[in-house]
Amino acid sequence: MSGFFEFLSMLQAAPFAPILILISLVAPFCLFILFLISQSKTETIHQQKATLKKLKKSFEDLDEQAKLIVKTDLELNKAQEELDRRLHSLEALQKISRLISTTLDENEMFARLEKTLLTDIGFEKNLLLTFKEDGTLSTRINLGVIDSDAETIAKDLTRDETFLNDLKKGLSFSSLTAPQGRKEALKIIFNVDHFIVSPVLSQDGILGILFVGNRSRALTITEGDAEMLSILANQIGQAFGNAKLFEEVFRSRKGLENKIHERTNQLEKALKEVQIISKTKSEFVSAVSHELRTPLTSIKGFAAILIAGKLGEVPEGVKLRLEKINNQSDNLVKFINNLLDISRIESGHIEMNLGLCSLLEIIEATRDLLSPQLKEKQINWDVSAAESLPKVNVDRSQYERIFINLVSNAIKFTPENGTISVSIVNNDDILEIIVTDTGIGISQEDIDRLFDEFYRVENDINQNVKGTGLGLALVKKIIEAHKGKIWITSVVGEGTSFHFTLPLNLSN
Amino acid sequence: MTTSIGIGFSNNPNPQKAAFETAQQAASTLPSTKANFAILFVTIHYDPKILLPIIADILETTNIIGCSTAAVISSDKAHLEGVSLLAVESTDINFCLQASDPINALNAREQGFMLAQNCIKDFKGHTRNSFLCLIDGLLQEKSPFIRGLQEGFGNVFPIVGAGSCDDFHLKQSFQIHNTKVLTASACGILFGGNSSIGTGSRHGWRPLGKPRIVTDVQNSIIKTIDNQPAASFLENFFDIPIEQLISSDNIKASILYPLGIHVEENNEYLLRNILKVYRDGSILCQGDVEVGSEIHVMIGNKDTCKDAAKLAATEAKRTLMGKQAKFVLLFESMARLKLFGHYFSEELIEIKNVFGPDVPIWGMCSDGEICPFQINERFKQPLLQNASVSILAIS
Repeated sequence: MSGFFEFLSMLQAAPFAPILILISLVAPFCLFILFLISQSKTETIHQQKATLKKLKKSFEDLDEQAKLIVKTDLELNKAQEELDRRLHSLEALQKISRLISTTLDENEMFARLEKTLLTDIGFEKNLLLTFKEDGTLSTRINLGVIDSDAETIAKDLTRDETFLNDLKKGLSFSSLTAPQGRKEALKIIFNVDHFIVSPVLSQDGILGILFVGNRSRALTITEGDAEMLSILANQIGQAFGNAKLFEEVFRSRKGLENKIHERTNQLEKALKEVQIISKTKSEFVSAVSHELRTPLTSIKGFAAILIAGKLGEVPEGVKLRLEKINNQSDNLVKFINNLLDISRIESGHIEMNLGLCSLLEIIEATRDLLSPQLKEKQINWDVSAAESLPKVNVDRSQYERIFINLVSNAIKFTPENGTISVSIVNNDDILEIIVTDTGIGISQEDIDRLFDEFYRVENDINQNVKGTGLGLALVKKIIEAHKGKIWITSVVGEGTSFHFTLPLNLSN
Repeated sequence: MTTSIGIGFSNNPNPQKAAFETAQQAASTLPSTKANFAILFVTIHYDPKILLPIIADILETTNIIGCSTAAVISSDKAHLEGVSLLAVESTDINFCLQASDPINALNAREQGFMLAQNCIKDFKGHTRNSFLCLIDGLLQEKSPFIRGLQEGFGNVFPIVGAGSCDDFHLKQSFQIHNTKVLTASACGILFGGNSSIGTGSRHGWRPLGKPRIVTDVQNSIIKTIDNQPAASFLENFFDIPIEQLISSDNIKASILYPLGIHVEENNEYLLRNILKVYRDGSILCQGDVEVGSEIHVMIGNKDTCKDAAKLAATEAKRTLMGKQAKFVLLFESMARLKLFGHYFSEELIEIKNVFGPDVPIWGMCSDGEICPFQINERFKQPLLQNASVSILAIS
């Protein structure tokens, strides 16, 4: 302190003493102010540096986030692309599937496929090659490939047995998954960068090859594309297989139809010939019968006159022979009448005099008529019918002939003490009449021909009993003229049943 | 005073048949079945030397320009394989066709300037309203060439066009001028007369991550970003080793994540696809980049791209000043085709909704699009863009 006062006293002694004293008093203060300012600036710089550091860090963080975004975006893009492709593929597949499965025409199927490959699948190049019978490949669909190139591709692939064998095993190849060597070879063959090749398989094996590809790198191939094409190839295979099968069935049916048509024509022709012959025969029989009946009537008439003794008494021996002439003439007339009836029924010239009558009455009348023969062989007679049996609308005289013929036959072949039964069953407005005997029965071979005209079963009884072979033929014609059917059931040695039907609506 | 448009398309694999079908289809809708000029887009599957004589013969004109493309665009879809032709018969539209010699690195700008000057000279004082430019998309010198064109036509003169390309192999492309097939060249058609044009361009990509500064660049080759080798940025960002970036196709993934250059006074970023990574760590972009440019990795999705397409169409319609579009010429980036895949038609529907169902939409998928771009508050300048949809509507 004493020093400071000494310094002041020195200043007081110096010239400009007041100024110097003032400076010495203010300077420390100024220095202090300057010190304060510099302190503040340093602080600001420090703060700014800190802010800059923070900003830098934010930028770095931003960049790190950006990298993450890019990475995520790349993955998202890839996933999105794959998803888009799959969606697109699914839509396309659904459409194609609908289009090709709704036709069985092979050409139509390929036309639809071609159109949809162009518009829905979206590859630059599309080829569908199918195997010909000689094992070579031919182009069925070609989009985006020059025809001559397609031919070369087909030839190249046909030659590559290893590749074809792999395809036959169901393997597909794509630029994504094919082994390097195979990939490069296929790129060269198809002249593309990206491709999928899939076999078109059916149940019978490989039918062809489906190829799609892009030369452009704008649209690369994804796993979804490969899956889609594989499914598509399968669908084509199935549809193609179905179309082929349909064509085979169609061809076979057509062939069969042609054969049936041809055969029908032959049969129709034969039938016409038979009808002509039958008509000629009927006309001949009718004519002959008429011609025979006239002289027979005279013979029978003269014989009757002679037997009656109208021309004088004839000796007993002559009379006996005249009666035989008369009887034989009756048989002949009966035979001719049967012939005439058959021929009339066949030609449709017979008139059916329909009228309501009772079947039971007809059956009873038949029994009356044939009672001597029944009695002679002591045959039991049995009739069974429903109580409420309606009257039927038939030609009574013709229907009597049915029963007379059938019962006569039954009597002929039934041994003594046998049984003949007649039953009538009403089956839903169709009457079934059954005449059953306990006779010798008929073999199946004879049954098949029994209704043929002039057919007679060869057996001992027939050899001893005369017959024309027209009776059952006439019975069948009469039943058919009444819209009915006749058939036989028989067991040799046990007996025979003749079944025939009569529709009631006819009678109504 | 009429303008008639005929559009033809065929994807018949046989080139003769494809040419015949396309030209017949286009000619059939023209009143005289003859065209004044035609624009032809062809996928790489077809040999243009086979197509051109047939088309010229049917349309009775050799005034044809065109190029190869990744896909031809019709009103409803993009066809990855096909021949597509737009034939015009008009008393309203004046036109002039020109092509450059093969473009070289040393004088690309001069070549662009000369092409513009030749067009103007041939146009003989008619009113000019736009230039359609088709340039080889594989060229590295597209930006200087377009700058040359701008200098020739005037800085704000509308130039619309596209880079020719192939089917995403990025290996070959061709341009068509009259009956000649060119490579590494550019061709174009200058429009004028009584027609009006409207242009619009958008991409729909959005910036992602922190901005980076281009610290060393030579035209379209970015050498360093933030003073680090440019490739290390890609390596780091996409997590792909540099060796793989150099040798493999991974770089084509950058189609989906282009670089975006921030442009002052414009909400839209100028996009650049990365074409190649060099061993020294530099990267080749499709189009020039300036030193000091602020760049971002960009990201887009179907929705933002569809919105962008709608905006581009609305802008093109608005700049027609109320006139009805006769047809709409569309250049869609390959990146968008890649992004949309099977759903590419959704973007076309957005554009169709703006112009109406009766206006034919026709175009191609390109490797680089040229369209006026808002560079500042007042001016639009034609620039090479990527991943965008560029629309030229002609009334």
